[in-house]
Amino acid sequence: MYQARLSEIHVNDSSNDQQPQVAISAKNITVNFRSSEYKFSTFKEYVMQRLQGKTKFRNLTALDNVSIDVFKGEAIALIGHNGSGKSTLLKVLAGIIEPDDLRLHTEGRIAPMIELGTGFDPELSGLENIYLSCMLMGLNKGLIEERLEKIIQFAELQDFIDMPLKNYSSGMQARLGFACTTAIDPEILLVDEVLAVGDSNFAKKCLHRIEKLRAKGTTVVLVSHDPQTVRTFCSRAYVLSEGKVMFEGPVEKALEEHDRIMDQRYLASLPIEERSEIIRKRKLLKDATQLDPSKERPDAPTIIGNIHIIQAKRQTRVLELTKPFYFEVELAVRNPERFEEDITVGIAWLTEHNQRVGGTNNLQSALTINPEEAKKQNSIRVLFHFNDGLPQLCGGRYKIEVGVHDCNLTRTIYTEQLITFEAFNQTVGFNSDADIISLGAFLNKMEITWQPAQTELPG
Amino acid sequence: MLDQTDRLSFWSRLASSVAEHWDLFRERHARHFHYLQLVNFLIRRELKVKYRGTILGYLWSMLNPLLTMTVISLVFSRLMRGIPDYNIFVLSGLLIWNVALGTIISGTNSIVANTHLLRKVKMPIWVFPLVSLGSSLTNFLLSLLPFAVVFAFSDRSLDLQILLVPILIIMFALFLTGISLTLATLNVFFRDISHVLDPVLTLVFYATPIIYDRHSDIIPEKIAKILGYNPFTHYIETIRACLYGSSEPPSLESIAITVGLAIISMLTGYWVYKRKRAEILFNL
Repeated sequence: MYQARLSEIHVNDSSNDQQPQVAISAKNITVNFRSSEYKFSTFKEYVMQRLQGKTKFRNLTALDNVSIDVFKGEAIALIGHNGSGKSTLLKVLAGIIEPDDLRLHTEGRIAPMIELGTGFDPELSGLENIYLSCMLMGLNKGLIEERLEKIIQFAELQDFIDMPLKNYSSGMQARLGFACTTAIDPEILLVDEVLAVGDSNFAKKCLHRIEKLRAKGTTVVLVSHDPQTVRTFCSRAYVLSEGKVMFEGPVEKALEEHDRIMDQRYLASLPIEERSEIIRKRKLLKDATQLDPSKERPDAPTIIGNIHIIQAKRQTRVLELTKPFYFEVELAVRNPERFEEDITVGIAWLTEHNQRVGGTNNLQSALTINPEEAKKQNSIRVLFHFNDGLPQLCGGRYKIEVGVHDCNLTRTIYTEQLITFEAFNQTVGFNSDADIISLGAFLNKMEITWQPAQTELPG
Repeated sequence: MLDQTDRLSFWSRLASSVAEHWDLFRERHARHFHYLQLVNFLIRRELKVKYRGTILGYLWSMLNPLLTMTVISLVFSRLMRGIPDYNIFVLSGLLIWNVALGTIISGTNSIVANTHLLRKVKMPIWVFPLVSLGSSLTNFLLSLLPFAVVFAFSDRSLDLQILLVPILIIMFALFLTGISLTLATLNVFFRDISHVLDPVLTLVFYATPIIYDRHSDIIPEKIAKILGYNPFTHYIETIRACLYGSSEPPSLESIAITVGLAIISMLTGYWVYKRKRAEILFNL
């Protein structure tokens, strides 16, 4: 009680100075597992080893001096190969594993999502399992009863809630598990690779739910192999390899680093002849691309594009289509003096299968972009505002392509698919037919009348 | 008059202060209270799952000791002719022994058996041995009903000693908690324990005066003395003395022994658990 009061005061103090507040701070975590080969599991072995003075075990270092800081409301990813220690780190953060000399400080309720449906018992009914799982995760009975309705609703199991869990499909179990975890209303959510189960609709629903929590200020730590998920959610990532933090920083760079490490490990696992063969081929390939004349024009204007999706003053990759948002396109121009005429900056909205949904550019808005300015500033920022959102569009995974053309739209100077994101439409709801536009959103009126058949019906 | 209001306010102040301290205590240990709630839920889960698919359900908790009693009295009643109402004697002993058996066997395996949970959720490890104890105690309470029926059909009469049963059972529960906490913790490191447990408990069963009376003529005095070193002997004898309605109530000395053993066992269990707790997860 007193401790709680003290920590409240502490929180208030730190909120006064404008520093971002730390949600998780862990310093120099080292976790050693005893290697199973040398582990004694019977009393006899233990006595024998003690007598022979062989009690020194071969240690398996799962985490080696790892430090990690996560700020409040931030979403970070832990990426790494199998056995890199990312799951162990997550368990340390969740307080499940307590290594010696642990310096871990966390602020707020933690919901670990190490597996979906922790503690589920196949013999019990869905309802009983909600109680069981939520209680295991630290929610007391009163709070569970309060949230029961919501959990069942999210899991879409109203009609099956009294059925034993063993009769559920694996998808139903996953839904129930996810609903239980997020019902805790955590301040810190730790997610371990659980979204891989279930169908894509379920995964989308979960991502949407996590994004909602994040919008409320929940801190998210995500362990994932899927670069797309990491890109969608996280602003920062830690790359782990063999228990060490190899890299910490922006997601794209982290993913690159991760690929590099994975590649290294892949090469290291090959026999020496194969390895040198692959390295030789790669070198040839690299030389060939460098000789490509189109990439070797030092005086051509080079553009580096970047795009952000901003909704409710936050940068996001999960867009709610019924609410206002805008795209912020940033173009850095390397040799602006090469521009001779006005340029056109446009965006194209594509489905994930590269089908074009629509596009627009500054000419349509009767604006011109004079490269003279670019010569002075060498960076340009273009905003595309959608103040009413895009409520006619259905949810799904989309991409944005940014293009720079000359003023007549005849010559393409630059084009690149810069971002992939998830869009949701809460009025249209779940889009089971994978539509692009919602015809219903355009429909003015429907009429239904009954009349005698004009033609004779057979039979 | 003044005195009276003073006294009244003293009592009301005391009451409110007690309530306040209780609230404070609850708030401080909210986590532990929460886990007791969980223990309660897990006990009910265990009983539910145990009898799922049976026709008689909970009735088995009551029928089982009755059947065992019938078998044992059929086999031994000739040998134990000296004991009046041998079936009640055996039944009361069996009910108490079943608490020990259930708690120790499932308690010892409880931590290892819940590996999957302990690896995925942050929760105190002591929950699991407690669940084993709780479900054995619930079974005991359920089986008191058939005991009452058998008792009612005999010529025996209840004595005031029966009021001692709850206290003695609590002592027994503490004793068993200590043992199962110790064994459950050690079982993580030496899985041999769960294998050796069955024969050892069978030995303890015969080394405890459950189906015989330690002080009857067929037991030599020397052996009776040795049996006195078995801690279970004291619990069985004192509790049975109350249940069975023997003429003599348990002596103060024997009650003191049960209290002492409970304390020693709990301290041992706590010590072992505390020492090894951090290592448990790394060895599961």
